Amino acid sequence: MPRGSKRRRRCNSPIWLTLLLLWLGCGCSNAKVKVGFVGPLTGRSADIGTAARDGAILAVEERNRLGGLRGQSVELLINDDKNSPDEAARIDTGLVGQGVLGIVGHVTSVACLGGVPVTNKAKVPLVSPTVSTNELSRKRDFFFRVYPASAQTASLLAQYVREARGYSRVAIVLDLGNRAHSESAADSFTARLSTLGGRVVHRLPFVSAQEMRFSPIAEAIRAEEVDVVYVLANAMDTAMLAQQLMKQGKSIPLVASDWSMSNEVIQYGGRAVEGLAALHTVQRESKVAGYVAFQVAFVARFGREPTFAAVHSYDATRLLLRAAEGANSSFEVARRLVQLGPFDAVQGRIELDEYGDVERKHWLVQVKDGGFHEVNP
Amino acid sequence: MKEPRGLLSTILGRLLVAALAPLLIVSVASHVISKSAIEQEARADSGRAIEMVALRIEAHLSWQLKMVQQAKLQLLVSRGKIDPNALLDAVVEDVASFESLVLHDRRGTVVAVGLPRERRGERGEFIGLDLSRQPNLANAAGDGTAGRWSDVFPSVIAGHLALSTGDRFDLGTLVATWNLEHLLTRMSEVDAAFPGQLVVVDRRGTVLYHPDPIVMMQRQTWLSGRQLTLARSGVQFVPDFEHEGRRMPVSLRYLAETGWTVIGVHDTQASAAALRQIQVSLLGLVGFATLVAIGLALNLGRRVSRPLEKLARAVQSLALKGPRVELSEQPNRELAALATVFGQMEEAVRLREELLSRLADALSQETGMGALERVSRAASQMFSSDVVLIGSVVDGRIIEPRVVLVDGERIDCESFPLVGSAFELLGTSDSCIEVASLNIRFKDSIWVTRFGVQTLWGRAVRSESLGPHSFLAVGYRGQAVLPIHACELLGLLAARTSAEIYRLQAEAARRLAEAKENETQVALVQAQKLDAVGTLVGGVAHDFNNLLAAMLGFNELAIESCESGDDPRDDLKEVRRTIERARDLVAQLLVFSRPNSEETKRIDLCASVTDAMRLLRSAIPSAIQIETRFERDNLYIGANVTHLQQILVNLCTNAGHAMPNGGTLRISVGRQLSDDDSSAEIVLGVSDTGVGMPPEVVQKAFEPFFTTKPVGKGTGLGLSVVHGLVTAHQGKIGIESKVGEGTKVTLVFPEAADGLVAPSVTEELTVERGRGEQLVVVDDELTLGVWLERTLSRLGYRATVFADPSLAIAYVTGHADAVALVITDLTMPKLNGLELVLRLRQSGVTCPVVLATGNASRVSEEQLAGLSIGCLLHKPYSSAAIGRAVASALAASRQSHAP
Repeated sequence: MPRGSKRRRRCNSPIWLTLLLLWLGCGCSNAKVKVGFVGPLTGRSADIGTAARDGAILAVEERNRLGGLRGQSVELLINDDKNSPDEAARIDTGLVGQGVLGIVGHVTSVACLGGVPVTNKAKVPLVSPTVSTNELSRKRDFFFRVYPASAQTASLLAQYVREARGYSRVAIVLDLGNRAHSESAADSFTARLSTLGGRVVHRLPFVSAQEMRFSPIAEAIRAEEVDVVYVLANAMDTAMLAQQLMKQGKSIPLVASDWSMSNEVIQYGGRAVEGLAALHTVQRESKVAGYVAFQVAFVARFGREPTFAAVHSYDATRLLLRAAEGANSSFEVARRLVQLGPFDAVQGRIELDEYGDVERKHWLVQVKDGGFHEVNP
Repeated sequence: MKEPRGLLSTILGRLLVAALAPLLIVSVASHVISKSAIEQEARADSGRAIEMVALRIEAHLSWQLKMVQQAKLQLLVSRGKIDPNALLDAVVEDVASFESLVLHDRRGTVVAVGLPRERRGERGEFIGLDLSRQPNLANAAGDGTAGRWSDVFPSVIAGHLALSTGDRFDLGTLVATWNLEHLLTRMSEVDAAFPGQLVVVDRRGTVLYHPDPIVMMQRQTWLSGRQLTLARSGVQFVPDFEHEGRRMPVSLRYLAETGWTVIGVHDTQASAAALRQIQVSLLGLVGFATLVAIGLALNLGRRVSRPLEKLARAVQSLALKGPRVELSEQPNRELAALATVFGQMEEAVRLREELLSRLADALSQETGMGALERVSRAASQMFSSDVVLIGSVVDGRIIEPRVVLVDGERIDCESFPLVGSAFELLGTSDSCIEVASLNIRFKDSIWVTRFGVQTLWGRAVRSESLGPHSFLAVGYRGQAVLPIHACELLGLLAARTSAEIYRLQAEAARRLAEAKENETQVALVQAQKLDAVGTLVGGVAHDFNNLLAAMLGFNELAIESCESGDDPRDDLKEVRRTIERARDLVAQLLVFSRPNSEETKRIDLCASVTDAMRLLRSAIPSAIQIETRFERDNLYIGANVTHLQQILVNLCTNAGHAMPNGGTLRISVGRQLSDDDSSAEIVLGVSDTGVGMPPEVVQKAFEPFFTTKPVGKGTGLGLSVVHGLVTAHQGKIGIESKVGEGTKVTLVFPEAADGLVAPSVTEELTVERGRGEQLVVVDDELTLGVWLERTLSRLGYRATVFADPSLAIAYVTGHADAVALVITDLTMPKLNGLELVLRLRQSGVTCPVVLATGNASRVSEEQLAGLSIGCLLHKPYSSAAIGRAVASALAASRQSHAP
């Protein structure tokens, strides 16, 4: 058939006219697949909250550039849980009502404990990038995470403190504002340390607030014979505590959790945080191709280096979207999450166990000359 | 290939295009123009607005920078005379938007802090802090020039998100921390007057101001790196700015002093509403035009499409030979013309179809004369002719014109010479031609004289070598013209008749050849058989001589015994045994000498081999040992006895010839399953330990007239005939031979299914005795006649013996009432037994007759029945046999004459 007549026929087709009418009448309305993000975007934990948010944004934007899910674009509904369990429950209820296929979050353990009952009831998968509390470990529910439980990290840290550094007397400063994380980590640490012959001589709780003063805590530590201080607090509080300890002329080694290890700890801690060590779940100098590509994309998009929260949030979001590929309901997404098998995270392969928990490799990181450096224990 | 669209949808499509295209063009154009106008307006509005915002921000910031400069000067002037904390406190109090004013020493450690009055108690907590790595400090004091503002950062002193600016001087670095809420307040005032949404971002694209305080607090990244570059390059309007997957028109204004960007997001709602209004009215118009187009299309469709569909149905019906579709009155002139033309076409098609049907009938697969007659009849009907003639040319004559139809009747016609006839003209052309005015040009031809034909149309089929071979012609008693297509059809029919004539001639020739070949084959087999008989005769004659010698010897002993008064019975019994052996020998030979018959019986191959061996033993040199081995008895095959004997004699004779110096001849019979296990086969093996044959000889062994024997020792037909006979019995033959070791011929026959097994004849011991009936015996061998007379009288009959048949006839006709039965030999020199009986029957003699013969095959069942010969007696016969034959014939006669 001649080409010209084919084209003419196509132009004449009433179907095209109808489509044109539809375009004129209705405009274009694209259905979207909704996915939630929840984390502390304001307040003193906003550093990891906003980093996690940006990781999720990057993953969703990349997915949409590749065609989205089942031909529909993915819409990320971003919400601030203000690091509060009540707010977390309220936000999650709202997201469930909006028909999300799954939620990336929460970022802090305390908020997460408020949200999990809601998502469990609604059978909506909640994939956390950074929540570590032991309270959510080994449960067959709708909570999943790409971050190891405190029990694993804190025990390893205790082993490092006792065996590699030879410290036996430890003071723990813990922020009860994120009790779920800090207490489980402190308990796991204490238990492991005592089995290794060490002892926690001081347990100094505080609640992070805007006008927090750390000089009294520093004084309390100075009063005791302490080999090392284990800080379970956000970056700014860790930095402030270190500053006060330095101001009082007490040079005590500090160890901390991932939670403290944002850039802010160096920016606000100055020379006071030199030597601060933590077990990190991200290798900062990694040259793994996937990580480098992610790093470049993140910097281009947000103008700053990704932190561990951004890395894990990026992984958590990709994992959730991957599980949602063949699923029509949030329940099916949850079922597929534990059936997916090995998943290529940006820094290597991870696999969720039957409870939706994960084990990760750890790297010992220390602040040195105003930067984070990987060191051998 | 896609199905083409219907007329109705085509019309609808065209109408829609005609109605909608201008409307759509106008609509889209107005849509684009109005969109552009709205956009222009928005662009101008927001451009003005953000310019005003930018100016206000710049004015505000420059005032605050001045205040920082002032504080720096005061610190320098006082230089240790006044408490720097108090000095800084005073400035903070003056500038309400300052959260704090901090003096860092050269290492970045906090040395003095200016705070609002209510927070001055916290000063001790901050002094001494090492904030050298705080990015805002590095930024603000970077190159010592005033007027740079930091990115948003969480301030440890302010306790929330803040901005700072600073200046480095001799005493260190002075950093003023600025409360973002002040910016928020300022912006809110401007934003209220702005037609769209106002956003301010810092040099990293992070939100400084946003109408939604949450967005601001969350430090969202509003401009990507690429968009920031765009703003810095001075671009002031981006029509399709992308943010979180949405596209929108924005105005941009870059503030060089701070590195901030002011973004005016246009309110698309108002322009969208105007556009929506245009779209709705366009939709209404398009809808209306569509409805009108559909209405028009339906109306047109009814007037044009339906009559055309009906016409299509009519064409389809014609194609499928369905019922005729009436095309009623058409709504317009063009369709009416179409309907008329269709009617004419339909008529033509139907006529042609009829013609084709006749042609198909004529060209049917029937063969023989019937086919020729069928073609003639079809031609007569197709061309409406008066006469049709089909003929072929042999030796220059149209011989036996095969079919002549005159007015549909077949008429016999004699042959006539081709030359000088109208056919001669036809034969000059390869196509169908006309021969006109026959009554003038060929007035003496049979066409004119017998059938009154004036015009002839015909076609000759010619061969290149012989010229015209056959003809088909149609004749008319008047003038006639055949159209071109009719000429073509006539050509087709001529070709068909020619082919049939060729076929008939070829078939006749083939039959003749077959008959001849058959005769030759029969003669060949018979000739070879005679050859085999010749081979046998020597041996048999030798045996026979021995037997005769024995008979003579014992007979002399018996005579001597009688003469000396001794009992001669033992000797006579020996004589009898010897005679019986001679009888068996003759019987075997007779089997072999029978003429070929088609009769195939179920035969026990083992028994046949045993019989043949009796005969062959004498013919094969005694130096050759014969071994027979049967797997078991009763292995039956379906065979002709004579042929089987011929096969065995040939194979054994060949084996004998192959062992001139003696050896072993082995004959075996066995049973095996066929290759596909579906049936059983009987295997006959004949092997010798003779000279053997080389492979090239084996290859030719079955060829007729191939022989390796010296001239006069073989015809070369033996194995060829065996091969032919075995094949005729559905058997297979194989030959294996090795020079110096011997030859084995293997024959495989299908096993004959169980059927009637020939009953074994057991000689009855009791013989019914006569009651003095008068019998007449006719035999040219007088001694046998005498023996018969004595034997019959012993059995209780009275016998009169004649050596001359004519005397016998005279006697019997003379004593017809007295003679109860006639016994006659078949073979007699003057008059044979059958002729004798015929004469008797012709004379009215009805008595029963017993015909004795040494070769029963010479008499057929029909001959016996025709002459009412009730019994056949096989020579040589015993006295018991003659007694039974006579008694049974008499009994049968009595039964038939019984009332």
